[in-house]
Amino acid sequence: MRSLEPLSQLDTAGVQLSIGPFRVRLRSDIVGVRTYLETVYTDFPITSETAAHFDIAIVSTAGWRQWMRPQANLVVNGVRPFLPLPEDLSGALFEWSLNWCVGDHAHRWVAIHAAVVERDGQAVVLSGVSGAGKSTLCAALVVAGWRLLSDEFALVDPQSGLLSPLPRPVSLKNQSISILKQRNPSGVFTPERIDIEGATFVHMKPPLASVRQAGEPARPGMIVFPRWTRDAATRLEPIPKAYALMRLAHQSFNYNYLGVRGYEAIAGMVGRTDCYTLEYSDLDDVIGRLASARTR
Amino acid sequence: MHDGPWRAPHDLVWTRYPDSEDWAVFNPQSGDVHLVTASAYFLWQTIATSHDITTGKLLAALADHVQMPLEADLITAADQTLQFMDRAGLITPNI
Repeated sequence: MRSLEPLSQLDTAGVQLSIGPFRVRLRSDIVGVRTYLETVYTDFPITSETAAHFDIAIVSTAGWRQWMRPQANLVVNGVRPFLPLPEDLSGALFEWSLNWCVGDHAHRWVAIHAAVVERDGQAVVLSGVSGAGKSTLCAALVVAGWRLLSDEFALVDPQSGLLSPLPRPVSLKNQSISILKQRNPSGVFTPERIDIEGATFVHMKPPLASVRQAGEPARPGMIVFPRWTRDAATRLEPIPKAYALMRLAHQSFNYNYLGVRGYEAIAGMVGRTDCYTLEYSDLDDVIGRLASARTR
Repeated sequence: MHDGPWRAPHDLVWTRYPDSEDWAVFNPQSGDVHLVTASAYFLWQTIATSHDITTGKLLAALADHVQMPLEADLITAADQTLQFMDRAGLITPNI
């Protein structure tokens, strides 16, 4: 952990973080937020500039709540979108607030709920509902040397069809935590916390190389719909593109908001890529299969 | 079943990929994407290119297209498809 000088303004004027294409202004009087940034955001540009796409404040509740079960309140662009959370979730609240900001406001891109990794110029989009195992697979691929674009959003540029990187800490839950800690012994992880659904979670610091390449979009090469199944043999099977298009549309936060432009961005990406369903349990096996499928 | 005539909105965006006969269609009015069969696309196309076509003529055209006799199974399937397309805003009764 290293101390970041601009963070001295975190609890007063706030700081600006460059995260992918976004400038995020963050202000917080909660020590946990500062500790979180010092743990997993050390490689991100942090300045005291004021301009921002998103203005986020994570502030403690005043009064007796400061001492008894302290809470963290989220304020985004002057609005409180959620109820307060326990203060020990304040670091994660920053990630959740970013998810909300991007999903609800970043309409320059078609935003799809998916992890995206890249190797040798070809991006693999891993799309699926929460719990399907996409973040675990994404984290394992990243630890194996793939570039992290995002573990949460595929941001499709409707004009170029390219995927814009949004590398951030990777969220891991329950059994995935020990699996990834084993695969990444030198990795940096936040302390374990319990989320509001009762799941244990951590965030894994993204690789420096991925953060440095945050300005370099990637060309989509494969779309994969993964599903982790205990003891399952790896099955990577092509699916008709029309089905892939339907599934991506359902996982998109805003394609319909963008109208025909949003639909055509997804339809075009599907047309230019190979689409698969993936059932897996063995991470090493699936990493090898994805690498060879990608280079076919 | 509605006897027709039917009409079809012209702002739908249809997509078919070479690996399947099925079509994806985006309805800008609802913001929804639907997956439909080649027969459903044929029905839409026939409605879109014919003036005030009735359901009877539509079914006859479909039977001719798929080279099947116009019997109960085909009529039932076509009826269900037309009802779905009506609900999804892909066609609408021209009344």
